[in-house]
Amino acid sequence: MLRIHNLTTEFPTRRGAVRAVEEMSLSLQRGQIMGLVGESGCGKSVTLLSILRLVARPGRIISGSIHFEGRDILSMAPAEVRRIRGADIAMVFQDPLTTLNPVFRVGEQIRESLRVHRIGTGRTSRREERETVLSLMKEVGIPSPESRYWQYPHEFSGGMQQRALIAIALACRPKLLLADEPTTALDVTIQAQILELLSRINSERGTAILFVTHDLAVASEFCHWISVMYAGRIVEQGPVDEVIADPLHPYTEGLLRSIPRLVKPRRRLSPIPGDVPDLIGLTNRCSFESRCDRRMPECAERPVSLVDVGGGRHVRCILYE
Amino acid sequence: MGRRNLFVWFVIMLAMLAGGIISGCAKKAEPPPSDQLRTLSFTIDCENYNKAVAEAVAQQLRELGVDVQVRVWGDWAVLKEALLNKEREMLVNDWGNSTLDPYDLLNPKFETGGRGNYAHYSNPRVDDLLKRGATGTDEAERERIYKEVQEILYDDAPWVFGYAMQEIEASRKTVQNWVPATDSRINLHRVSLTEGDTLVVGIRATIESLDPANHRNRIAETVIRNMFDGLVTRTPDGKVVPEIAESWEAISPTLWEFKIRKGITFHNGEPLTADDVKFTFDRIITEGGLGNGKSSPRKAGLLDPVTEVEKVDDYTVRFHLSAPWPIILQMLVHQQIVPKDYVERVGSEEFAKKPIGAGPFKFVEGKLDERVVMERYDGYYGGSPDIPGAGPARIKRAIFEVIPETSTRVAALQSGQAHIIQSVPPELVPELDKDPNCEVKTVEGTRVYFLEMNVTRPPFDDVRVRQAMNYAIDWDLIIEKVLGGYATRLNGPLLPHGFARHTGLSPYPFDPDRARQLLREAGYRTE
Amino acid sequence: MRGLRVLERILSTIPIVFGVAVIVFCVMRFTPGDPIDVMMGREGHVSQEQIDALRREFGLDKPIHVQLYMFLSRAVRGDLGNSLTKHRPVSALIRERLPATVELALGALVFSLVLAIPIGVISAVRQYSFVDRASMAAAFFGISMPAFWLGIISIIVFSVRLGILPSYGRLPYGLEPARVTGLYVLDSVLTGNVSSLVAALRHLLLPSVTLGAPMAAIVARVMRSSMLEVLRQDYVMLARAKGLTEWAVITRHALVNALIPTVTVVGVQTGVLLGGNMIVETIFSWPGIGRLAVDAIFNRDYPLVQGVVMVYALTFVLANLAVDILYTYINPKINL
Repeated sequence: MLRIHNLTTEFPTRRGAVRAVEEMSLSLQRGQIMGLVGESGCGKSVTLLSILRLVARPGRIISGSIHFEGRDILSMAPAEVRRIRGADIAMVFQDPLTTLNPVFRVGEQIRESLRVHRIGTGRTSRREERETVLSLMKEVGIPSPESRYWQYPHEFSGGMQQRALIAIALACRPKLLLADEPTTALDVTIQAQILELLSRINSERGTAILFVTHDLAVASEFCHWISVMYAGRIVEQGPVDEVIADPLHPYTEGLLRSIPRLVKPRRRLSPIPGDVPDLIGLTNRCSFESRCDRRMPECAERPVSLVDVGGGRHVRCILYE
Repeated sequence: MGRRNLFVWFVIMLAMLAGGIISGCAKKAEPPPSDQLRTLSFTIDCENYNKAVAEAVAQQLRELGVDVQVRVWGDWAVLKEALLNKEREMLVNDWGNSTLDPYDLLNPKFETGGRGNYAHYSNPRVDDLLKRGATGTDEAERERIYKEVQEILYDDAPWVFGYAMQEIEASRKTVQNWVPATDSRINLHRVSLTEGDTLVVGIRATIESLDPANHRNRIAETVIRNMFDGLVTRTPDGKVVPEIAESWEAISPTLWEFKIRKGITFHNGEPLTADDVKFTFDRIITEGGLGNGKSSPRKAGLLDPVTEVEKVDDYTVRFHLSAPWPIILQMLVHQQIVPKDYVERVGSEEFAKKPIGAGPFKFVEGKLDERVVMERYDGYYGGSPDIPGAGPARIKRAIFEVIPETSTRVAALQSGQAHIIQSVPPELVPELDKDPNCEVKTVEGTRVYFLEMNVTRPPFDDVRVRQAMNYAIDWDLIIEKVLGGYATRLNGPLLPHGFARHTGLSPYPFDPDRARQLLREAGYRTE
Repeated sequence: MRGLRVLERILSTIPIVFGVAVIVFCVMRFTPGDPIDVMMGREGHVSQEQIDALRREFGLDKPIHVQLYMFLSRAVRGDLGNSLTKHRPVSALIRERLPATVELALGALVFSLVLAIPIGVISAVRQYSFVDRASMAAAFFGISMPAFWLGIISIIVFSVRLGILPSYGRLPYGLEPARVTGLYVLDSVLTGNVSSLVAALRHLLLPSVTLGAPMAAIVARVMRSSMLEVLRQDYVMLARAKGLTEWAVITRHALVNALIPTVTVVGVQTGVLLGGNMIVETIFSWPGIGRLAVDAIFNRDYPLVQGVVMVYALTFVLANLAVDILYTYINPKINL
């Protein structure tokens, strides 16, 4: 349903171009939940924005293709892209507080999503729209939606705000939901509720979800597939259970070692040493090399590419070439 | 023949030489040796509006080696107190003289203890002459008296005689038969237009009131004068001529009789008689005369000596004065006759809103800080027969628009929104001169500018220093550079076109050498 | 609830207005110059008795605190005394001239907002474009240009050189519409008087532009920077992600948020507008409160100055109150 091929998105800066996403390829089937995992700044969010062509200037997509249901979003006219946004592909953002417009009532913000895409398809009355909004609010678990409809975002708790955002995203029954760390800003208990909600949506409506998170633990519980990103590139990809059980890429391994819940008892947590490299002037050699504990002399010498290692698994490491 | 001639020349030369030595010896005795010379040092006081002139004067005096400071005072009341205490030295000052009569200028400024005498000048001969000038009724005699005063003052030099400002006004070329008046009033009675029948005048400030008895304001008078006539009026060059009064006579210095012209009607059709004249003046001179306990502000300084106005018959009135008052005619120009019956019926307040007079135009509508509109009164008696062009007004409608900002006023004239404007600043004159549709007109104003020197204390207790000051200042240069050229040099204290002005005196010339010599004689160092 | 809070806010302005009244009173009394002196002129043959009589008539002979008490106790009843020079009640004089000033202020406000908000928005959306640079340069010009100069230049250009706009006044004689509100533009609309409407608008144009220029400049700059700020916000991204057109994103989601700081600035600028109105009303012979104030100050007309300054203070307080109330409508997070 979604096939991203060789996507590269660049941000020019005074010191040179930053490739936030480089030669990213990814595909997602109907009804699937794909986790996109990585440290902050690795290009996960930019990937999502690129799919909706919402990368803010001066950033721009310089190459690649993004096929959604067989059509390349990157070659569509702006008006066509707009028709897809919110209708076929909807997005749930990271920080619900700043994402809801503070000056409009929550219910009206949900209703707006409905209205945007119903203009061409016959008239719906305001009251009908409200009814739809109320049932949406109920569906995402907002209690007493009749009174909540007229409240402003600041009168909502964080979890409720996120539910409202999900309601906005679901308004037009999208086929694909892009969720950008939807639980990061929330308490742990609320996180679980939101994840449960998303799972339910996925199972009840068959909505595919591209789930961005820096939290491998969350991804492991929630996703079917997982893509690990590092410095703008996918380094490992595969079914979630297999990747967790048997990580191939040293970075994935490192990530797994640094997660408390997944570490076996009595083993020490071991964070990955070093920092994410400067994204300016990266070559297509391995960018994890400087932090890698299985570094070899060749790593710095030749480019590495994503290798299909069978069983739906891919990895970008010189060890597997 | 030749030999005899030579001898005569020899004798003459010898005589001249002797004379020269003798006179030379006499003069050389006076100036002290140069090592005893002091530096002349004093302060010039002024208010802000005279600052530019004060600075220019100081600059010129410094070139002579005089140490001069300029002090600008913010508060006239404080300065006045210092002046009255005889503490100050030299003051840049000015004095209005709209009656054009020396009584209003020389008496207050030079009489011992006069109310404006900040030079503290005191001269028994001048006092005597001024008293006779104030009480006399014979014009020729008064003229002779005041000329003698001018001669004395010229030599005594209690002032540095300065200049008189000119009024600059302007009109569209379509305006006919209009000249600016020396008292700056704009009378539209005889003015006509080559295009259209509505004439717009741009005036420079808000009109205080439309009641002739309830303002102290020349702008108000300008507007009122087009709807109301007085017993007498003034020609543009300042001469008093009959208007509502057809003739008059001074029965004694304190009793004047006026004959009122017959056939004059107010705008409501009622005839104007002695009752209206008496009522007009009673309203002003009586305490609380405006009703509601209010007194007219037009008595103090304008009608003080008038104790009673007596009706002799329907067309004759007599003015009883507390003291001789030679400027009575000039002062009566500033009072306009109002209709007794109407004012009594509606009251002063209503009258000011809907004024009715006996002038060439009748009131239509008015907002005092915006505009006053008036229309020709067809029943007008024609105005003063002594000014050419008597009869009803030529234009159908006159509008006085209040335009306080000078640039805007000039713009209104240039854009044709106004036909006549008051008070053009000198710096905008070239702009108007270039405009083919406008013309600038100037007239001598009624205000004299001068430097008053305190004669009671050094350095100005020495007449030589005072004269030196008169020689030391190049007024022509100041008039040219500071005043834009629109001023007239004074040859004494009086206005260039005033009554009794001494034409035989010529202004003190700019002569720095003479000034230096006088200063040295007085014991001061010069450069 | 909101009504009650508004009432509370209004009541809380009373001490401010009272304080202003006292300060104005004192400042006027300690300013050099005496109203009677100014009235009588310097050369007048006025005796001390006559001056004293006048002082008594206007109550100027009493001690200052008594004068202050008299002024305040009358002011509470809406009686601001009588003008010394215009011989009429101050409140009547103000009431007469208020519509002219209100009309001019509204003209300036409308001009500056209608011009500045779109400019600010376009400059932000097209940051660093030619439009942005040109309009910000113009805004800088607008802030630094004195009203006096701008007024005179616009008169010279538009009424003297081009002859297309009048240079002074509110309307030519004979075109006044029937009085409803005293605002000529509004009245001529209400009475359907087209020729008055055209004339009134033509007269209003130059003074409004002159008065509104500095405000337009400031509003444009504030609008631009707050718009730039807002455009970076997540909710703008969400609006785009919903599939809204860029126009809808900017005019609906971004604009309302960007207006919040702008409204504050407009409130503060109302004070600047009031200060400018004395100059602009004088230049354009606009018969409003500003010219009344200038006349009154020059003539040391104490009661009139006090009255006019009270009106200014009240307007300023009310403008800020209006901003506060407006705030609660556009920014739901703020309560009064």
